[in-house]
Amino acid sequence: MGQVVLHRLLITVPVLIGVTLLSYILVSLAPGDAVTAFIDPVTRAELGEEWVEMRREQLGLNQPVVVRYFSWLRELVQGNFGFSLINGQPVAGQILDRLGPTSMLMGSAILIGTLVGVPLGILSAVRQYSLLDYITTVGGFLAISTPSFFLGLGLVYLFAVRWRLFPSSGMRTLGEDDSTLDLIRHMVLPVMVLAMAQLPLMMRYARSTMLEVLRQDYMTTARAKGLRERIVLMSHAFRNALIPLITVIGLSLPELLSGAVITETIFQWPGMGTLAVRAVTSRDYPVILGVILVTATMVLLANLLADLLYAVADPRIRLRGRRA
Amino acid sequence: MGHNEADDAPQREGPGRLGRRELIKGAAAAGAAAGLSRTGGHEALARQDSTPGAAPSGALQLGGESEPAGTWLPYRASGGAETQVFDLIFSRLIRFDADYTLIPDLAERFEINDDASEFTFYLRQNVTWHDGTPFTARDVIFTYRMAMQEGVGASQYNKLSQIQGAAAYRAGEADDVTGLQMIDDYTVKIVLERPNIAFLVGAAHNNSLVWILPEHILGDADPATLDQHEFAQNPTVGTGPFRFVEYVPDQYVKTEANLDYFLGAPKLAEVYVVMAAPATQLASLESGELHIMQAISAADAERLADSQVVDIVPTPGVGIFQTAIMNERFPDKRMRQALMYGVDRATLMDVVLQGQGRLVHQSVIGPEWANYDDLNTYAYNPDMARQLLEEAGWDSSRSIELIWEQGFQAIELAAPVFQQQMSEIGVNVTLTPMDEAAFEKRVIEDMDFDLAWFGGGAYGLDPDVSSTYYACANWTPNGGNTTHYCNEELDELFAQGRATSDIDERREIYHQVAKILNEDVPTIFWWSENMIWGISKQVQGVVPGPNTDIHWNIHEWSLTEG
Amino acid sequence: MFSTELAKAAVARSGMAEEPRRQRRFVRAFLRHRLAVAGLVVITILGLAAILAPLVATHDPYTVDLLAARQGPSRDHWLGTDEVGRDVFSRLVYGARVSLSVGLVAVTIYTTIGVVLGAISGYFGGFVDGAIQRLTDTVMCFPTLIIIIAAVSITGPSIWNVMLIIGLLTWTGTCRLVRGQFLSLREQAFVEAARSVGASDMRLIFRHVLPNSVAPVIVSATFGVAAAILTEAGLSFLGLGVQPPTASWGNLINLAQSATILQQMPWLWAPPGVLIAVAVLSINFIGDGLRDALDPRA
Repeated sequence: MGQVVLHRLLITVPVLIGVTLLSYILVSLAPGDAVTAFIDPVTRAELGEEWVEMRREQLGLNQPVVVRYFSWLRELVQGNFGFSLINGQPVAGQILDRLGPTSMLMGSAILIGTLVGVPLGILSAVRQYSLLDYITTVGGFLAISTPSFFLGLGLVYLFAVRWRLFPSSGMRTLGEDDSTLDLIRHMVLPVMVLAMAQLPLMMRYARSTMLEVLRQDYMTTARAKGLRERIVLMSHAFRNALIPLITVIGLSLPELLSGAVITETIFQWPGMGTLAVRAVTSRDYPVILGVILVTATMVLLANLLADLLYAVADPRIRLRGRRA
Repeated sequence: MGHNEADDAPQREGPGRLGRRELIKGAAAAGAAAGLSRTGGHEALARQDSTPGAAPSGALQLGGESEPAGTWLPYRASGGAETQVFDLIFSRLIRFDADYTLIPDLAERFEINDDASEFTFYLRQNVTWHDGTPFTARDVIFTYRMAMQEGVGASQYNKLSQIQGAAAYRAGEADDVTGLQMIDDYTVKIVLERPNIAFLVGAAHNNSLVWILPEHILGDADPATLDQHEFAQNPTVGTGPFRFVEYVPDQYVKTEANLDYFLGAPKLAEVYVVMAAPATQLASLESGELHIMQAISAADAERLADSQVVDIVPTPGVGIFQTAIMNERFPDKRMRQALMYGVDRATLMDVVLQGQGRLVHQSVIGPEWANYDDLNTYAYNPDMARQLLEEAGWDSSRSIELIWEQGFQAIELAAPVFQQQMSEIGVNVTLTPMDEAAFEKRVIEDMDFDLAWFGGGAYGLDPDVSSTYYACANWTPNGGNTTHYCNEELDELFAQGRATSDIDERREIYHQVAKILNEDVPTIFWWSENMIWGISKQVQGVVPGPNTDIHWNIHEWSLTEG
Repeated sequence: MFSTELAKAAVARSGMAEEPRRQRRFVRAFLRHRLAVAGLVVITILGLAAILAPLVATHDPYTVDLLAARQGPSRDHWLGTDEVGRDVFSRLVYGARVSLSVGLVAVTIYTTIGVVLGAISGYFGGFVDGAIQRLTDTVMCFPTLIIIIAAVSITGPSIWNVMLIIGLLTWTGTCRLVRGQFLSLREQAFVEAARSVGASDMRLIFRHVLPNSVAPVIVSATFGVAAAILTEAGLSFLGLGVQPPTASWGNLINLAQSATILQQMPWLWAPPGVLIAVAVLSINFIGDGLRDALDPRA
C-alpha cells in the first residue's frame, strides 16, 4: 500500500507540469493580454500601440510562451508563486485569501447536502414508492432544474430586498465590527443556493445505491437469518452503499476548491471561482498558473484519498491485483 | 485650515480678452439637457459649514464602476473603479463641478495667455498631505514629470506630450522639461508646444490628466519597480478629502475622513467603494445597503421611479453610441449616408433607452455653446437610402459584417433591428458578437472590420475631443481614429479651434466641423444616452450633473439615519 | 460436470437469457414504470417540436417589431414579445433545438469515453488500470471553466465548442463510477461462472458485467443531460453561451437577471424556466425507468 501511495505522489509532478503547461499555452493563444485587458477600445486607441508595446515589455509579455512558462517554473521551485501582472500583489497571498471563503461556502453546502440528503435518500429507498419517496424525488429534481443564478437572484430579491432578513451580498457588513454572527448571516443565502444543487445529488445517489443494495442476495440471506431490520440495514446495506457515495463526495472535493463562479458573482463572495475567471479574462498569467496548480494538486490528493477510502471500505478491492 | 477660499471664478481677467470666465464655463459645460429630470431634494448648499465640533459620522457605500485596474498608481488609471478611489484620496490642479464648470482644486486660480499656449496655476498655500507634510509646487512638477518618463508607462503621457520639452525629456536627451516651470513654491507654469485650450479639459477631467502625487514619498522610486512600491499597494498619502485605508480585492476599498482637508473636514467618517456586479449592486441599492450606484438601466429606472428608498437621477451623458464604419472599405459617403437614413434611429432609441437620451447626428455634442440646430437629422427615410445606394453603385449581393463586444445589452437589442432595417434597403448585414479582447484586436490591432459597434468617449466635454477620433494623424493603431476617416479641411479647423480662447470664434469654427462630420458620416451616429444614478434617500448633499465625477463635493455629503 | 451445471445455472440466473426474450422483457418492464413513460412522451413531444420548429412556431424568431415590444401574451403572440418585439413562443420553440441537442452532445461524448475507459480499467486491473487512472487524474485536473473561457475567446462564442470541451473534460466522473462498479462486480459469482465456461474477456465485459453496472451510469447520464441544459443557462449568465439574437432556453431564462424583467415581464423567463424543469424531470424519470427495467433482479 505504501508503495502505491509513493508511486502516486511521484506521478503528481509530471501531471502537474503537463496540466499547467497545456493550460498556459491554451490561454496564451487567446487574443489580448494583461496590458489591454482593462482598457476599453476607445482609451486603448487613444493611448496608441507604442504605449501598449512598452507596457508589454515591462511585464515581460513579449517573450515566447514556453520561455515565460519555464521562468515561472524556475521561480516556483524556489518557492515563489510570482506576482500578479495586474496589481503586483503576490499570487500566493491572493490564493490563500480566497481559499478560506471558498471552503466555507462549499464546505457548508456539501455538509448540508450530505447530512440532509443522504438520510433522505436512504429513507426514500427503504420506503420506495411511498409518498415520501415521490415528494423527495420530484422536489429534488425541481431543485436541480433551477439555474443557480435564477435561484440566487430570486433569493436575494425575496430575502434581502423585499423582506430585509439577510444581507444582499458580501462577506461582512461594512463599517461595523467583525463578528461570527455577521459572517453567518452573510453566508445563509449563498449556501442555500449551493446546497440546493448538492442535496438532490446526494439524495439521489444514496437512494439509488441503497435500492441496489437492498436487492442483493446477501440482504435476503440476512433477513432470512432473522436479524432485525435495522441491524440488517446498518451493518450490511449502509456499508455497501458507501462506495459510490465515497466516489461522489470525493469527486465533489475538487469542485469545492474551484468554487461556484455564478454564486460568488451574485453574492460578491471573494472565492476562488471569481479569482480564476478574473485572472483568465485579464490574462493574468501568474495568477492563472497559481490557481491551476493549487486546484490540480487538490484534485490529485482528493483522488488518492478516495482510492484509499475505497480500499478500506471494500476489502475485495484491496486484494485486486493481477488477474488470476 | 482654510475654508472655501475661492468659490468665485478661478481665474483673473487679463489684458485683451474678455469673457474668460465665460470661456471657462463654456469650455467645460456639457451639452443640452434633453429629457433631464431631477427628482428628490439633491440641491446642495453652496457652502456648508459643518456644525462646529461635530465629528464626522456615517459610512457611505459607493458602487464601484468596474474592476479596478490593478495597482493604485494614477499612472495606471483607465477609467474603472480606481478613478473613483483616486478622486477621494487625491486632488488635481483644477476639477469640474456637476455641470463641468472648472473649479479650483489644488490651484486656487489660474491664468491663460492670449493664444492658449501658456497656463499659470497659483496653488493654495494651506494644503498638507495626509502625513502632515506641506504640499508645494514641487509635488506638481514631480508628478507631471514622472508621468513623462518612459519607464513609468503612464497612460496619461498622450496628453502630457504636448508640453514643451516633454519628448526630449522622455527620450533622455534632457534632464528637465522646459515647459514645466516652477515659478515659486506655489506657482507652476506650463508651456505647450502648440496652443491648445483643451489642455485645461485634460488637466481637470478624471479620465486623462493626473492626480498630484507626493514627491517626498515617490521622488526616489525606481520606475522599473513602481508597481511593487509600497505606495502602489497602499496609497495612504494624498491630499484628498479621504485617506486610503485598505483594499480587499473583489470586495471594497475603505477610506476614512481627512480632518485636515483644505476645503473643510468631511462630514462622513468613512467611504467605501464597493466592487460588485451590476445586478448585485442594484439589489444592494434597493435593500438600503448601497448608497450610490451609476449606470442604472432605463428599465430599472422606470421601475424604481416611485421608490421609497432610492432617488433616480438621470443626467445627460457625454459619450456617443456609434457604429464605426471602416471608411477605407466604404469610401463613398453616399453609401454611409444611406446607412444613416436607412435606420429608424428615433424609434430604436425609444425602445432601447426609453427616452433616457438624445439622438445625435455628428460628434460635436457639447458643451452647451456647441450645439447647432441647422444640421441634417437623417430622419428615417428608406427610400432616400435606397436611392443613395443606387447612386453609389452598391452591390446588394455583398454582405457586411457588424461586430461588437458581447454583453452590451443596448447593442444586443439594437443590432437585430439594424440588421432587419438594413435588409429592407438591400444591405445584407451579418452579426458577430465577440469577447472584449477579440473585439479590440479586430478593431485596433488588425483594423479589420466593416462595422464595429461601441459606445463611450467624452465628446460632450469639448468639441476638440472629436479630433482624437477624426483627425488624419490619429489613425489606429496610433490614435483613436478607428474609422480611418481623413479630411484635411477638418484637421485645419481643429487646429484653429485649439488656438483661440474666444468662445464665439470657437463656436463658429466647430460649427463648420459639425457640418462636415454631419455630411461625411464617418460613423453611424446613434445617440448619447443619459447616465442614470440611483441615490439613496439617506444621502444628503449630492449635486448630480453631467459630470460622472459625482463626488466632486463629497466633503459636503452626509448620511441620515435610514 | 456438476460444476458446469452450476455454472450454467449461474449464468442463466444472472439474466443472460436469449436475446429476443430479453428485449421484450426490458420493454415490458419499462412500460410498467408510468412516470418513465410519461417522461418519454414529453421528451418526444419537445423533441418533435424542436425538429419541426418551422411548422410549430407562429413567427420567425428573429423578426423584430418595435411597435409590438414588451407586450404580454395575446392572441397574436401566445407568450408575448420581448424587448424588441420578437415573439417569445417562437423563440422558445427554436430554442428547444439548441438546448436539447447541446446536452446530448456533451453527455454522449463523456458517457462513451467514460464507460469504455472505466470498463477496461476496472475489469483488467493492474497496469492497464493504473495507466488509465493516471490519465483520468490528469484530465480531471484541467480547469474546465478556464479552458472554456480561453477557447471561447479564441474561436468566438460557440455552444458546440463549449459542449465538446465539457464532454472531453468531464468523462472522468463516469469513468471512476464504472470502474468502481466493475471492481466489485468482477469478483462476483456469475462472472466467475461465465469465465469458467469459457467466455472471452470482451464478451464478459459487454454482455455480462456491463449491463449490471449500467445503472449508476444511467443515473449519471440522465443527470448529465439535465445538468448540461442548466450549464447552458449558466454559461449564458457568464457570457459564454449561445449569443443573442439566436435563442436558447438558457439565454432566454437569463433575461431574468434584470430585476425589472424578473418582476414585470414574467412571460419572458417563466416559460423557458418551466420547459427546462419539465425537460429535466422527464429525462430523469426516463432514467429511473431504464434503470428499473435493466435491473436483472427486479
